[in-house]
Amino acid sequence: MENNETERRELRVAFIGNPNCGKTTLFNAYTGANLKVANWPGVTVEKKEGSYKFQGQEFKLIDLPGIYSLTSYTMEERVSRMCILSDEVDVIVDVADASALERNLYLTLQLIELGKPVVMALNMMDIVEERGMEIDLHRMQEMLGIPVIPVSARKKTGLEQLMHAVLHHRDASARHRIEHHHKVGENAQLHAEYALVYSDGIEEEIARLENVFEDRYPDMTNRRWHAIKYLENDSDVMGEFPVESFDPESFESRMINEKYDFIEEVIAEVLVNRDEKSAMTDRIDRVLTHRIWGVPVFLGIMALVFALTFTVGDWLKGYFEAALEVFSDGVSGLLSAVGAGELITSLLVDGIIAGVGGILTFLPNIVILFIALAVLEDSGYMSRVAYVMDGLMGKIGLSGRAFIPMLLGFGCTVPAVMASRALEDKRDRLRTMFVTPFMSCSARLPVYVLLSQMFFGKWAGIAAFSMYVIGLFMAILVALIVSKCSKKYEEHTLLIELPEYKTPNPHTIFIYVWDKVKDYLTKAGTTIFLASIVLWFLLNFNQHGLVSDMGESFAAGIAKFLVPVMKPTGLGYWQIIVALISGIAAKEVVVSSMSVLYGVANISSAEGMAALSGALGSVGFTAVNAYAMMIFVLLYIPCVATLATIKRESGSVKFMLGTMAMQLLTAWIMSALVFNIASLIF
Amino acid sequence: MIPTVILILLIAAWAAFVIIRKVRRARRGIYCDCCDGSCDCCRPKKEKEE
Repeated sequence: MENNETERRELRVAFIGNPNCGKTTLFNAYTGANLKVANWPGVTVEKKEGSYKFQGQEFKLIDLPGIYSLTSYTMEERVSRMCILSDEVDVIVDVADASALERNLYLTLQLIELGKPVVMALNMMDIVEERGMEIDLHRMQEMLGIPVIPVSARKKTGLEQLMHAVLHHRDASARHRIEHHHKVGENAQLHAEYALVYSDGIEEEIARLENVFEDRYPDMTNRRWHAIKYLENDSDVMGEFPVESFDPESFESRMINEKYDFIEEVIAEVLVNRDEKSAMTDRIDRVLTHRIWGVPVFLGIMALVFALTFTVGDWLKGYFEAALEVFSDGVSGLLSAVGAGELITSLLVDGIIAGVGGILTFLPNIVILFIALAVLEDSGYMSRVAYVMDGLMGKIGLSGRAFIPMLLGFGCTVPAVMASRALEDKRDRLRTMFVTPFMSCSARLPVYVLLSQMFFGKWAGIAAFSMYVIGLFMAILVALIVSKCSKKYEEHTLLIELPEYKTPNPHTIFIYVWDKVKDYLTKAGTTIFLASIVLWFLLNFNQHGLVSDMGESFAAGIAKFLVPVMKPTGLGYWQIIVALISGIAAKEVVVSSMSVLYGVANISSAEGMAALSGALGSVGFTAVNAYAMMIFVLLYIPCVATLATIKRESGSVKFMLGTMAMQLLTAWIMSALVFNIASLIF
Repeated sequence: MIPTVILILLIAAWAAFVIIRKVRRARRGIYCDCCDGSCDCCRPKKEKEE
């Protein structure tokens, strides 16, 4: 065996641990760009593999899904267990969050029971130090019988020591000496061999089963582990190795309790200056996750976010508008000076610069929104939101975990739809994909900012914020209707980790916001650029060539067919219809389109808005129409990228078309309702 | 005339680049503009297991 081990060129190491323990950060620290992403066969659980070289040894690293235990309840657990038990893995690196040792040790004990070489990477040691705690690593190694290596994945410390430990502990028999200080029962010899020894009654049953396995399944390796799993009523093990004559009473809950008793023992001995779960976190959670106040507090926080978006964002927007104006005038002057034709000047200034530039001026608002979302995420609050909404989700027939993808929809619907993969039940996934587009994504924000500032004055922030509330309400309503129409509803439980609150890390927030800014700029330079050109063409040409009046263009011709259909919604204007149609490319293009349609160069400036509201007002477009338009933009067909993602994730064109039709209908009905009722009141 | 032609060519070239980029990314299963396919929001098509 040892010769084979040394002869093997590649050592296969699996990284496993609880979610949010820094496992992937650690994995990425080793593999960098040398990684391959795929899916485990037949399931939607991601598989990451990478390579690494250390002291002349090639390593193949596998990043397994974050799991809390090795039972076989979820797909992630089954996949991880299958991988570890197979020949695919030589050594297991158990990545544990040192600041949440109690929770992480449960998985550690299960991994040790597997009988394969395990090395513990104790991550986030910097947080432990910040809290004034210390961990007696030497004692921990004695109690668990495995190497315990302190690392910080974020700061990239301890990485070589960890690989050194992996390299030198790949032989399962090379264990640490185990030393316990507790009283031993009849099975004293077991305490020298195993980290966790159960009570005498359970150990007798384990021994009995091991004897049965020895007779029945002589090729079985690690009989102890199989016996433990059998006593825990593990369906996979019982199915694979049936023992007809043996009908055990399930010891599962006793064994779980004994594991936790042992964990308490370990914690008591190794953790110095133990920090009882942060009192501050508990105090805050009493308010933020309150049964009644949790949801209003969430809405209040989101209202604050939008207030900031409008106040601070608008102040910064002024500078962007000024810069755009200078740039636009400059380009216009330059083109005139070099004798460029009128048409090309129109394309460049009225089409591209107006369209793309108009979008870029909203960048400050977008940045503020994402800074706020990043702060909420990094502080630990977003997990609370999912927890708080769980009860509500359950009542409307959605899994509690469905709110997490829906929450992502506040940023962008594409990753929100993708995140529905985390839901195991196909019906849940489809339902979540069906309603997620109602969550108002950041691309719609420029539309809300423009219309609300033009028509609602000091109430602009509230008008825009109401779109998010309405979107959430509509998502819940549609989900409820769908669930009532479904024949079967199963209860789901939500298992979610609530990390301790922490001060958001400025670097993390910067990276997150910078990514979003890059996305926004890329979109402006690609999709919006193209859409602006297409739109300019459709607005300036018809079958006879260049038109002097946009009302005779291709776009106007198409849109005018739809005017009677849209009249009941208060949006029966061909220009508005063109803008809405163009929004299917990307929602920001609605603003770009209006800029091009009404010939307003700097649409978000005070002058631009005055010109636009004047033009709209002259055809009877009032605040009521504006609000109806905001609702229409909120609820109607999502952008092409989202549609393509829905089609791919659902595997069905019919489902995608159904989503489109449902959203269009919902948008029409709601806009018509709001427009007609508001028209009676105001 | 010449500046007009140059501008038209530049705009056309950028538009062509954007279209080709979109088509190639869509073939790889990436539908949004933002990422290179390795981030969470969109991924390339599943690779076959070895």
